[in-house]
Amino acid sequence: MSDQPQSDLDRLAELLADRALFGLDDAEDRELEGLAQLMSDAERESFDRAAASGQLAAIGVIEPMPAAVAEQVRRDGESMVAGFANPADRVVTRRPASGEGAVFSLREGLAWFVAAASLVFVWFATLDQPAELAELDPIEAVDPSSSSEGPSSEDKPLSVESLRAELLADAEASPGEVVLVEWAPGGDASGAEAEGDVLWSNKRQRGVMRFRGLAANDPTAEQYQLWIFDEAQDDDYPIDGGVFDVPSSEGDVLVEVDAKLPVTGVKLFAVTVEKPGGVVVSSRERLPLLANVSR
Amino acid sequence: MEEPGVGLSTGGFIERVAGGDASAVEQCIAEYGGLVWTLARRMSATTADAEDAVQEIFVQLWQQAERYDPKLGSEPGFVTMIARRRLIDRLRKATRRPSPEPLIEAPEAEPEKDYVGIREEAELARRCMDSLKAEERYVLRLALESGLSQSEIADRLGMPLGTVKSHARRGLIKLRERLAGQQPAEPAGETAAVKGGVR
Repeated sequence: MSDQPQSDLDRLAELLADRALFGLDDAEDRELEGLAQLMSDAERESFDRAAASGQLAAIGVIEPMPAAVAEQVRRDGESMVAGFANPADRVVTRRPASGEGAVFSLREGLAWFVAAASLVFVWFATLDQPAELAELDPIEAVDPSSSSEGPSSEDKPLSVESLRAELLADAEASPGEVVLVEWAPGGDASGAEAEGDVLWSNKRQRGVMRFRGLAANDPTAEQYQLWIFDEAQDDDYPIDGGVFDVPSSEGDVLVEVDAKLPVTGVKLFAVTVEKPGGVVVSSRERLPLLANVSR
Repeated sequence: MEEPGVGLSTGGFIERVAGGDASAVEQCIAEYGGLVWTLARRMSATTADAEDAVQEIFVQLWQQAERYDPKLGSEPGFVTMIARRRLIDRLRKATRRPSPEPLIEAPEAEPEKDYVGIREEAELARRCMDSLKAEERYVLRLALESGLSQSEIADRLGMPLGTVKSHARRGLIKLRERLAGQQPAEPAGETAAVKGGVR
């Protein structure tokens, strides 16, 4: 049909309008990605700007931000922005499978740890394995360019079971390409009886966690959250590895890692218990499991 | 197509942030902290959620400061856009949604601060909103001001879901065009289909 391009353009406009007003589900996000090239970045963003203006039109009373929140934001911001003077510090990456709402930088986790000068050390200080945890030598050398593009879309259809099987096969075929490390207790009771491991492939930018005996959680009250300490990141800024649940189960529970940034060389995986939806700033009060990647 | 600027006043704070001027951070917070906090409160289920959201929004704002182009829009618009994206993302992941009627609690206003840049941008946007057809404007307001979902708007208005979607999409597309032109169109009469328009 000769009008196919206009139909595609219409559909893209619909999706951009829906995204700006209500957000999109995963299927719509994928559809948008397929059509996105029909408009420039500025054109696509203009839908979000229009929604923002519409919001401003009715802003009404503006409440002052609580002083404590403002102070935290200021401290985090000044620390972060001061680093912008060095262009190498401003690395912004985009996950190719996500929409505009999923733009991350290597500083995504900044707010997490700024208040605590080095959460890693604080965490470690509370543990009974200082010798092991002090060793944070990366297990492998990784070409950053090989991981900067994020997960390969062709890997997506795999079930978590199939993904784990493929990662294990990769590990056997090319031991240097896949991290396989067992969980160790982190001190929280929910992980006291837990065992299992975590697999991570830098090449695929995908990974799978396996748990047995990790306490089931009530997702309306709390959720588990994975954090990835990466050699390309300052230890103050671990990568959010996603929020997940553990159902009541006698067997293994498999959970795919949902890294929010490209991972170049894992040093440590840590699982915390957080409120539903996860957090940016962790209270790090509950740390069920750790997996230290060391030779 | 790149639109001309729609903002009337800019403080230049975001460009200074992008340039690594840490002193602009405090000014940015003074200028836009109330705006971000107000939006977060309206689109978060609890105050604690709003506090988390504000921190996320400002981290995003610092990260994306270098993307700000004053030719494409005002600073208040850019800040609001960053805030909305993050808040919508959080809303879609949240198990609880905020009350459909925002700010039921009487807010603690800050009368001594006038927020000139924000008010100018709001006035321009209001004129453009007023130029939309009534049903489009109403649906947009329920989405933008009250944060209602498409189905919640359909329930509220007793309107088919598809009609709500059409009004919302058409209204936003018109708003986008009118903001780009900075010339609020006459409310009467539906004109020709817009580029990228929807049926």
